[in-house]
Amino acid sequence: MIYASQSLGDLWVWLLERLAEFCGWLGIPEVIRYSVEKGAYAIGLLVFISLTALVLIYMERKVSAHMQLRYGPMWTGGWHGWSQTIADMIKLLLKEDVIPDKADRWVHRVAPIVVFVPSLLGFLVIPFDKHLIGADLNVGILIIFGFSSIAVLSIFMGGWASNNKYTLLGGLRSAAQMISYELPLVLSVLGVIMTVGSLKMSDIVMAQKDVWFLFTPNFLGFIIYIIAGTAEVNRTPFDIPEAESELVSGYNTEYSGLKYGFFMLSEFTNTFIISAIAATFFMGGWNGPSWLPGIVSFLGKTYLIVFLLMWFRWTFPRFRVDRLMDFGWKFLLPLSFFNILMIAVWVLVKK
Amino acid sequence: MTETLKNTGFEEMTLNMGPQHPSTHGVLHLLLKMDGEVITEARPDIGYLHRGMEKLAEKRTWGANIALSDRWDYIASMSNNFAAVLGPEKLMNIAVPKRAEYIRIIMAELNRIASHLIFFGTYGIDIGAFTPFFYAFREREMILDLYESVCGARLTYNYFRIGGVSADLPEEFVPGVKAFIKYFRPKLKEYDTLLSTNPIFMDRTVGVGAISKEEAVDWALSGPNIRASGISFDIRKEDPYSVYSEFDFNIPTGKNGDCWDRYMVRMNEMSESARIIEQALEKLEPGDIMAKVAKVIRPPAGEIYTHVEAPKGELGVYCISDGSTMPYRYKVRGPSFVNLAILQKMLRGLKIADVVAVLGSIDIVLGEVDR
Amino acid sequence: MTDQEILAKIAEKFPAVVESKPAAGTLPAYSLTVEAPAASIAEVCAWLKSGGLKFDYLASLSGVDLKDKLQVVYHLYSLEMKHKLVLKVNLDRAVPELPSVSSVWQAANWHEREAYDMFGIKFTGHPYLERILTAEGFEGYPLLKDFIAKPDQYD
Repeated sequence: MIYASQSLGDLWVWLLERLAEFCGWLGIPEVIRYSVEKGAYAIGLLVFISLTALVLIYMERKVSAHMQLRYGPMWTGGWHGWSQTIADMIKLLLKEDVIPDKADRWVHRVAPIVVFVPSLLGFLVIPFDKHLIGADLNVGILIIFGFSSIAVLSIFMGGWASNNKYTLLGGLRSAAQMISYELPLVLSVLGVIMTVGSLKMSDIVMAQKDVWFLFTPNFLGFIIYIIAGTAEVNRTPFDIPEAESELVSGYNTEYSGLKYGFFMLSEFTNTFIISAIAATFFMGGWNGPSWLPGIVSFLGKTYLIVFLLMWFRWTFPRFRVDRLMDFGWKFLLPLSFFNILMIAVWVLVKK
Repeated sequence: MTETLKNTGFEEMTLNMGPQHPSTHGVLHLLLKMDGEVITEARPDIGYLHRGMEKLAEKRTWGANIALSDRWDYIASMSNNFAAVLGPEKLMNIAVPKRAEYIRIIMAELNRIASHLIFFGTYGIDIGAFTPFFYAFREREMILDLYESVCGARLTYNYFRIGGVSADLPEEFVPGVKAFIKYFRPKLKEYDTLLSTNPIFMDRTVGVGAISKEEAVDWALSGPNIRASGISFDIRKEDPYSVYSEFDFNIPTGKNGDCWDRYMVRMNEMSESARIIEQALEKLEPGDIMAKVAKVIRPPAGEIYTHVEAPKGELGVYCISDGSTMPYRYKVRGPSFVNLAILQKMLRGLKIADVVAVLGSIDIVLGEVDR
Repeated sequence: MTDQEILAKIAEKFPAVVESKPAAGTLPAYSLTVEAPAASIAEVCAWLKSGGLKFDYLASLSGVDLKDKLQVVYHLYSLEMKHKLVLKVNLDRAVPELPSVSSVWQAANWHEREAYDMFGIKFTGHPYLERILTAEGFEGYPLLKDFIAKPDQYD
């Protein structure tokens, strides 16, 4: 039956069954079998995340380049500069790790870890394919938003600990921004949750078997989600914590080498997570034509959203910090409340 | 320090913006005192690029000063050349041949487009949009190629001479300019869709850093900065030099004098410059490019203040000659220097994000500020 | 308004302000040039701006070293009435001091700082008369004709 299926999720289930049989045959305790199963998934996930980061960074370079009448990297590694990201990473690893003299050394060191770990944990509950999910928790989506809130703390830590006025301003800005935009972000997803009646990722995907939520009244929620999501990952037009032309580089001005790499990496993994949630909640997740493997369908949709975010970044100017707050609190938040009301009515009428 | 700050016991923050900063357009140093993100006091600190141009000029011959003038506003060198030759020409009473006059005007107006293109690109970056920069440089590249075909240089042209220009136009130049104008006109619409009417861009610039008419005159702003405040002041019309009086062109003005008006004035000026170039190309006829000038230039003793409308504003040169081969005094009134002075007043009460929006909209070149 | 009319109006109000005649052997002035005494320059400028002549635009302010004396040259323009005026003030080389006009035209602020920086001309009443272009701790006034550049560590 594995041959008949095209799904990576089915392959994973098949492998797990074989593992269970094997363990049963050897009499290995359930705890160890479970650990092996989850460990294998975690390793696979880590490999996937690193590859994703490489692909995303390369993609950002190429997308921006082609929007700006350039080619981007063309020579490193041969074909269209494919190994440029790897070269970048090696450069980052070899760079001197500078800690400013008056910095709070401990917080300065911890901040990149605090920013990176939550963005890794977010991947646990993303349904890549049928059955291919780290933990199909019944509070799935809440886990992701919970973890993404921690990122605020780390950016603030980094900005504060560097003992630099630009980083301080960047850290304060990002704290204000991310807290403000968390609300519309969660509320926009609430519409979908109300429609489905579950927080579980697999339920939400299954509910979109016939029609994506994008093509229902949840469309408004999708728009709000994309806007708030862009703000949540600090990308243009909401990149005011970094704001290159104002704050030099914002909260990560004083970071170099591997620690800067972590900040950069987390930006890309967060972008991926936000896009993946958009794909799961509004575009049917791994649902797709029967001839297409679920994971391909899922990744295709995710990268479509990633491209959309990159498109924003390379065409829009940047908001000003107070206008950003106005927009978030005075426009986006009421709009998302209206969205919830509208979905509630729609759900009632449908019943 | 404001009253609220004193009462609450919070500290005022001093931020040194520059001289190494991505958006101070060179080596401008702004000393900002801030209450949170709001600026309570701003003091521009200049001179990091001071090369003593006026002292150098006193030890160079009149002709050699043209080469020095390339280094004032190094992205609009043709206009600087223009200012540098007008003074000695008037002192020596030289009649410049018609062909040379038209060539000069074509060059100066192309340079205006090139300078405004740089403004457009870098202003986009200041506001946070990176892409317009590359679009602007694509067009600027063509202008530089045209310049290169004429005088061999792409930045410091040293093309004007006292009494004319250094070289005649090559064969491909006139068709090249015509092709460029034809290509460039639609691009202006592209810029508008890309940046000018973008809601976020307008949000950042409309109503920000407004300069009233009275302030603009009081601080002696010039060029697009004063025109954006609604005063139609353009040296080309006000005190026509060269043969500008023969041309038909409008002076775009703004209304409110805010950042967006200053931006739009420059965008509109580009199409007006294109009009002037087209007219000059039509009038261009074969002839001399140099007047009969003595080998050694010795203007008679006397003094004169000549000014041209450079892309940034009124570029004035006050030269005093003592009858020798070198100027006795050579004062350069750089538009950027004068325009920048108003910054200390404008920035008060604005947010730090507005600093770059306002600074970018004034469009300075530190080479000219510091000289 | 013609040059003569302007001159008459100024002479009526300030008899001390006279037309400046170019020295023998030099070219005639290209635009109306007047000379004013140093002490009353602030009043003269204030009147030139707000009086009937409306010289509201200070195009340029330059210091000049004429070896026997220092000179400050104001290039004025009226945006409304479209006439120009060159105003000259002669200063004693030993005590180069004159009132600041930065309260009349804000634009004079930096111009005066530059003249102070380059010629050592002291503008009394200037809000912030500090060196503007030369480096901190720079000694001497570089545009004076008797300034001798001392080679520094980079020369």
